[in-house]
Amino acid sequence: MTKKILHRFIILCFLASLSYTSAATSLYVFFPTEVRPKILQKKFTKLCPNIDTIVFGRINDYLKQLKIAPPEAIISLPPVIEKKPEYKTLFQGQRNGSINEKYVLVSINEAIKTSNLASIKIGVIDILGRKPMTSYVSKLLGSSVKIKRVTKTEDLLPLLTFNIVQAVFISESVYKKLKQTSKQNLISTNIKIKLDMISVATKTHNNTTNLNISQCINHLDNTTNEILGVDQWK
Amino acid sequence: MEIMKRLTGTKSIVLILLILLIPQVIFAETILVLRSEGETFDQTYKAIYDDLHDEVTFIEKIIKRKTSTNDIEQSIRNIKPKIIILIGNKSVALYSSYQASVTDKNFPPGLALSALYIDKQLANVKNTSGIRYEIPAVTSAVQVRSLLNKPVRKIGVIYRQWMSDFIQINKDFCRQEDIELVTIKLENNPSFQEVKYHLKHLIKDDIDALWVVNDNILLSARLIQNAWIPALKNFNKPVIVGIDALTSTPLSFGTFSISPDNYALGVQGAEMIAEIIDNNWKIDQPDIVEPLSITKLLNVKLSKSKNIPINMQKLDAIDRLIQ
Repeated sequence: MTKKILHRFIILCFLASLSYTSAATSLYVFFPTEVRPKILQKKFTKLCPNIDTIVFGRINDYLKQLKIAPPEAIISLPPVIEKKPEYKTLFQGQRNGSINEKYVLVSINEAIKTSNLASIKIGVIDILGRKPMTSYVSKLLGSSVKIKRVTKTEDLLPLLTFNIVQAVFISESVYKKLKQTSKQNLISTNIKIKLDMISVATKTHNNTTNLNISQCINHLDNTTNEILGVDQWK
Repeated sequence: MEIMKRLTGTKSIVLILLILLIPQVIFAETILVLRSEGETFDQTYKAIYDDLHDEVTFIEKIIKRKTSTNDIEQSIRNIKPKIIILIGNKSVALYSSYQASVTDKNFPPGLALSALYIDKQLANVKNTSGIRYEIPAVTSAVQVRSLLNKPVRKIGVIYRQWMSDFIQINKDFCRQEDIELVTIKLENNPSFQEVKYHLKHLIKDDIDALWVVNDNILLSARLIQNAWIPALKNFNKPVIVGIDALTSTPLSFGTFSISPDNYALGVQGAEMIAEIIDNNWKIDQPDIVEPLSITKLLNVKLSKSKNIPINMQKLDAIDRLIQ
């Protein structure tokens, strides 16, 4: 048994060494956050030098590049990865021992009546594009909703301030950051939705990719993981 | 089939192509984009196109110096657009003149963006909504507040009389964030001595930052040189400007520049266009809204020289740094 594992390990190491001499493993990271994509990309390039990483801040850029040159691995939120069934989850991000987090509706001064969702506009961070995002949020909220998409987390507050939407649909961690930024009376409405955190997916049955990506994920430091909203990968 | 057999090879290929293409030509609704040339306008249009190109056909017309209202009329007559998008001041001004010049006052719904002080420009344009291009003070104030290691409660601004409505809106927004906008109103044609005098007076008023409005008169080369630079020489607090050049040049003027994110502005515009489409290609009530997204430039060097307490951990959220 031990011999077999050792044999496999030697083969994997050999394949990995081949990858250093041939083209590097390609990785796309799409995760809208307040940190600028080029900053996050610099961190990945430094921590994972054998991986060709491109970090996207906007869904349209990500989708375009995905069509032109599909990568060997993707780091993103599960709904984004699920759009590409050829990618299978290799690592699931966790925070405080949990793989998912609560999502809430955040509004100013008054809580949102959940029976009334069809009549209000809801702000979201765009992770899927216009039509798929509307379907996704409507399905989650159990009601056909009108959404307003933004590309950056920092744009959620102006949506509320300028009354362009009546609520924003965000994770609890984004809500906490919003509360630190704003002095407005932000109120969260519990909607009993929990969604999985960011994950890493690779094209199936590619040991070299899996090994390279595993090494990269293991090298991510606390700051980078914090930007990605996790403290551990499982 | 009988007909097909009678046609020669080339003719049948043409016929097949026509059958394939005609439904798209007939059924795809068209949006006419009137826009000025330039990278910023390209970005905004690109975002709108990225978002909606698989639902509508876009026809783009670049507005040049020679473009006339007749050209616009001809384009509209030929294209019969379901929506008209106006990008840039020139486009809005020309379309406004076109609307004034024609007798048929049934205009398709429109959306204007990337144009300064759009409220005044759209006052005489029918059936057209807009997104303002000026970044509201509250957006800048919240950003500066989260970047500094000290409270921001009062922000000063000087403005010309004609901007009174704009400033009042901004005062109200700032109040929502517990920030007081301390204002000084100037005549519409102030001298550099007046600007300098009022600026000096304003910065003595215990403000935590200064917000500089985009106004080509207040920010003329003469006024920058003779009023702003000398008045702000010993002002060691953040100066928020709306033009990157005022931060990036060695003027020692703006410490922080906040300008519109032109691509995100296009996404915001695409959302409004999609709403018009969903509303059966109609605007019930034209609306003018604030822009949502910004790009940020921080002159770290100047901030440090003025001992402005920047939270260095927040620099990852800044688009461009001058070190």
